Amino acid sequence: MELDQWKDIWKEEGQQSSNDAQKLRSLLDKKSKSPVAKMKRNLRVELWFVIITYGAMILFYFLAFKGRMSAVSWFMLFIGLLFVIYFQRKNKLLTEMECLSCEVKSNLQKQTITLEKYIRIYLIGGTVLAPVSLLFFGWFFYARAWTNVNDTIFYPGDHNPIWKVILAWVILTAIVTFLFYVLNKWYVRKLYGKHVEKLKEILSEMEDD
Amino acid sequence: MHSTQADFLAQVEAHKGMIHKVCQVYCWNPGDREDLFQEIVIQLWKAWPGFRGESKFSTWLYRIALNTAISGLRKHKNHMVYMEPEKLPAEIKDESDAEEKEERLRQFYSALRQLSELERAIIMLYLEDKSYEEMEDILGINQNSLRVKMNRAKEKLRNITKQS
Repeated sequence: MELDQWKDIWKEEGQQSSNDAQKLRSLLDKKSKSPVAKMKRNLRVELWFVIITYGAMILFYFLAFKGRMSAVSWFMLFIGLLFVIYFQRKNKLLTEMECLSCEVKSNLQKQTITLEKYIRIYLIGGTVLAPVSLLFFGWFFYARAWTNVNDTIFYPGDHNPIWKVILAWVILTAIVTFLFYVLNKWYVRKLYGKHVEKLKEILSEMEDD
Repeated sequence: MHSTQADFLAQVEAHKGMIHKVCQVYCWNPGDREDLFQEIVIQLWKAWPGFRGESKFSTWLYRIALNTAISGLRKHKNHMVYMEPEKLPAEIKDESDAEEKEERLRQFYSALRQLSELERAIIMLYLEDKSYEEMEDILGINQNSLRVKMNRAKEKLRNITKQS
């Protein structure tokens, strides 16, 4: 059967569909299951998680130990402020991510570009947090001298010249950063990798003459 | 202009056949089709306040339906309903006209699903008698390129149906 001959059957097919008005109306109250809607919901959950856990820890370190550990609270407040910027940026990207009433091609282009930016922020945010936290707590334990830290290679002492200490921190930070980068990269790829590839594949087919 | 829910529902009711066809073309099984139908209606409702009637309602609907179907991630839960065209019966004997038509249509959908997402959209718009101008308006691909892709998709579909 030639394609033109399918037109009649095709048109008849459309008239047979059934969905009563009540059922149609009930759909309007349902939540979207689109990838962008899910990402927005996940972002909100992430935000509440940070507010609750960070809020509790900030309060704890301000009040406990007679305030001797308030530096931890200040550090967490600083990280919390960075989180605000991070969430704001991610939320902005998610809002811009799709234009469903636009032409299919331009919507795909928009979604691909924005999703790649989103992934980059996710990757940078998740990776940078590790060395920043490591260096802060390194400094913190040194400044407070709570443990016998000068017995380790990470703090200056009789047997540890400063160059050795710096080198040890550089190596440790590099290893931790690299591990977090790999872990984040794997996770981000697992979350969005296939979707981005699929979008790019369709786009490349659209652009191919 | 078209701000009420009743207006929206009336429009969707009148065009629901188009939405069902998009679901048939892009989904393998009834569960996925139901999910996609629901998602398209939700997205249409979300976009409804922005519809100013500058383009035809059907053009606007197709953009949203195709964008939802193509760019949404859908996991194919199972492939129970999906059949390879070569496994389908070549001839349908002793069946009523309606059953034969239904069977042929199922065969056609099965063949259609072997095309890429874009080719499926192009063939679907062709079957809907959309002009190249309208197709360009929906897909955002220029008409010359659309003609090339249309011929390629038709040829591919012809080969698939020949094999069955």
